[in-house]
Amino acid sequence: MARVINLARQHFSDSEEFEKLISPHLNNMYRLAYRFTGNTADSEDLVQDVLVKIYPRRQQVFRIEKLRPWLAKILYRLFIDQHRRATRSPLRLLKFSVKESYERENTIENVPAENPGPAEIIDQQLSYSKIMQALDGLNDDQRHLCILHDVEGYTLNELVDILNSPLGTLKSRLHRARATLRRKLNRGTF
Amino acid sequence: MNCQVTRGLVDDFFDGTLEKDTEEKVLHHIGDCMACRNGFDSEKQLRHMLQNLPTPLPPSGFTDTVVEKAITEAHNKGRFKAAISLCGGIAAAIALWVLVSLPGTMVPDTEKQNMLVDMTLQLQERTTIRMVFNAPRDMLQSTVTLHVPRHLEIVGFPGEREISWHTDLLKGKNLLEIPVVAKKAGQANLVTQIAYQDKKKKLTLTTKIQDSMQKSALVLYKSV
Repeated sequence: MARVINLARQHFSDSEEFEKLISPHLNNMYRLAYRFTGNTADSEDLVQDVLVKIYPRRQQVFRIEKLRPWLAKILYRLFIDQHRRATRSPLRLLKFSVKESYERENTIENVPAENPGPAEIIDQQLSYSKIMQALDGLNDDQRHLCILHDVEGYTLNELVDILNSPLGTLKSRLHRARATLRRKLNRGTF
Repeated sequence: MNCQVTRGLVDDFFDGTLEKDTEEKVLHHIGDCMACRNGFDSEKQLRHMLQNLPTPLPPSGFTDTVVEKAITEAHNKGRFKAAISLCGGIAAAIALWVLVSLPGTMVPDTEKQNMLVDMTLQLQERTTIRMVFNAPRDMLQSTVTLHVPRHLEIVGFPGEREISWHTDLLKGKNLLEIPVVAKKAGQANLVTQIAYQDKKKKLTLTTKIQDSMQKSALVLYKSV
């Protein structure tokens, strides 16, 4: 009986510690999930799936030094698994396209700005919309790398582990991705 | 350092991966060259915008909900496995009924083991049959089997009369798209079977293949 109570206490404190550790990262995870999935419902599901996956391994989580890139790696791989499964099978979820959901969710109040006026907000929205379209036009590998590095700020060294690719490969892929982005945004050779 | 070399280093410059002396040479060049400076400014602006792409915030209470659910699911996992073996004999978890949407109509059917839906196809015309499965919960590793009559051909699977694959039906709406070409006039049944654990459901689509105009059909399954 004492052992049962001890186990229950252990479980309770583990859960609390898990929540304390994970909570500061949830907004980041949600944002990253949104970048990949393009809609809020799938983002919530993806973050949920990550937590369901890692909670049973919480003792390992407690030992991770840099949790942010580790969580990004788990989230990315889960996303890729689900994405591959969905595209391989003719049976798939009905969902909004990335473009539709972006237009639906990209309301003015969601645009971060440093005190812009209404005209600037509209200009910004048009530019963000163009950038989103350009990002959507990249191939999956390039888009994911751009999202992780240029949008979410993961370092190339972190991405070596997250994407399981050599540094040189990532650098040249990023270079090609940006060249394509610039071309799509009519920014010339820069 | 010339313009071409400088432009080739723009990514490394902003990524902060240049050697100190190379970085200084780049800075020196863009200090002198208006075209390269404009290019670097434009690049800086693009990166700034990428870093500030708008994102909706998670719904309020998101943290509590997801953490709590993760803990609960981990708890229930063992129980769930036991429940499956206990309830193995209990009938159909995939109790389905059908809504058929042909152009302009939506006809509800009643619960049946083997649902029948009629549709008309045009000979040699490619048609996409769409079925929506509304799953009450995740039904992982379900098996979908199509029994294809000789009158029809599934695009990409010429001559195959039975096509079967495993898939995960996720909670909510799941779309099955079957691109078909009618090869022979007459009446034929396309049978779709969903199997999950020890439960099975069949849908029989009776197709009438003729030359009249007919577009795609939308079939909505609902499970409880």
